[in-house]
Amino acid sequence: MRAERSAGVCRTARASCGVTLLLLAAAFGGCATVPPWQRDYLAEPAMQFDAEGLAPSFERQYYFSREAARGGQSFGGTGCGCN
Amino acid sequence: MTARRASLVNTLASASAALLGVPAAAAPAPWKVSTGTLVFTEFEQVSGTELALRGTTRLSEESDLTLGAVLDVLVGASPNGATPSNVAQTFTTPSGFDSYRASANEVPLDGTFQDNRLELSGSLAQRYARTARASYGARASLEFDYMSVGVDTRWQFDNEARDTAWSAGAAVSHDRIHPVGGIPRELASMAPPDTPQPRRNAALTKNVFDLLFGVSRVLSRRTVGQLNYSQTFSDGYHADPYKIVSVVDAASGATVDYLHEARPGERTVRALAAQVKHRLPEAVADVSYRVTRDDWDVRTHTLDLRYRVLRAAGEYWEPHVRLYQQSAARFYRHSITDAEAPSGSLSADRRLAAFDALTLGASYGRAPGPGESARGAFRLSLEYYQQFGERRPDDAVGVQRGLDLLPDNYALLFRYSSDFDW
Repeated sequence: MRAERSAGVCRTARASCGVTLLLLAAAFGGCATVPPWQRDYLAEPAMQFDAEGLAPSFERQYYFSREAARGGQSFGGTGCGCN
Repeated sequence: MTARRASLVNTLASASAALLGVPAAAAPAPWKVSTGTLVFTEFEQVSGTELALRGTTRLSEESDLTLGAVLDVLVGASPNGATPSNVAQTFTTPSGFDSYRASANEVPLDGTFQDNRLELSGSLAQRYARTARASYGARASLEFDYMSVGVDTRWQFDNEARDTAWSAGAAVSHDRIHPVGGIPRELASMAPPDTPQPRRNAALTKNVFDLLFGVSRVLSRRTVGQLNYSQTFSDGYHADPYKIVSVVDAASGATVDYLHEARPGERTVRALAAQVKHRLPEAVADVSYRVTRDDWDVRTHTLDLRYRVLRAAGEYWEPHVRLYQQSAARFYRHSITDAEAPSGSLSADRRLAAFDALTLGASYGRAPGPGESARGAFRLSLEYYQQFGERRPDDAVGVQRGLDLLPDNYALLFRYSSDFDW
């Protein structure tokens, strides 16, 4: 039961990751220039990468103590994480 | 604002400006303050509370100062690494003066676990030109058995159209661990209480170096994306001094000994992360993916999906799904048999095992729009986290075949944060 559930999570993650990478490659390869007067949506809080206040640091520290992954979008967690 | 508080704020900002060599603003700017609380409980294991406070003030037209503090309080029981057995097991506490027991068929937990952590940090954000800015930070993290101090810097350059930003950053930290009872000798047998314990040092250190490169880009009127690459190199003591590895009889699977774990003295982790946000008519879709690999043979994949449904007055609710997968470190073993001669690195820490993890949650909050005060901004989140381990590994022997060697781990997390001007 666990193996099936776990394998399902893995397959979903891998498939989604592949699709995400393809979309990203296509998106970053584009050259659309948006003039400043059309950046109303882009100025909204939800469209910022660093506008979530303290939430990202809470998440980073929690996962730092429970998983082996490090880095990516920011510097790693702090402390021993010995639990 | 009372006279006393105003005086304190002005003094702090002025002193910081003087210390950093920045001309202070003529009139004191208000502090934009964020406060947050995280409460989590892992069923039958660790529970914790984390309190965070962060404030930012403008020192001049070109510079902002941010000061922060975090307090963690963790209590409960932590897995000690030993494998479950069909009989009760007795372990020596890290101090070497006492013992604790684990019941038959249960994952051994060290109930003496307790940890408090205080982190203090400060950073200066400086704008050098219309398209160039940098930040310089310092922090210290203190626990009764662990200390970490570090500095970091990040630089960001925009293109003239300001639709692409390039960034680079570096961080250095120095950690010192001085565990209860001292540093165990690697792969030495656990000694009974009140006998000479296999110890090598009172304390050891580790240095960590981070490099981070990124690019963020406006992809369309409704879409932004970013790519980041980071590399982390650490050198020094990487083992967990409180973790042990069971040695079992090669035929029966009965536990015959416990060894203190050992890990390599170096580690290099490379990570590539991508994120895209897309504005829909009444919602924002947020997709991020990260892949990491390191020279301990741990590979991880993280997919994070958020969908923010926008409501009136800046309010929103946001379901969240996170899928995580990691492979085992090459020296991870749930246990070894007495027919093996252990050497090099060896760990039974489940954080180095192969497992999958799932996070399901939702947030409700309010985010002020552009130009609005941060007053009234808040975010409330409730999340469920589960790790799916390899409960019945193929290399289990004897009685181990009837036991859950790496049971699933469950946790509930509650977070609240709010912002205001002070």
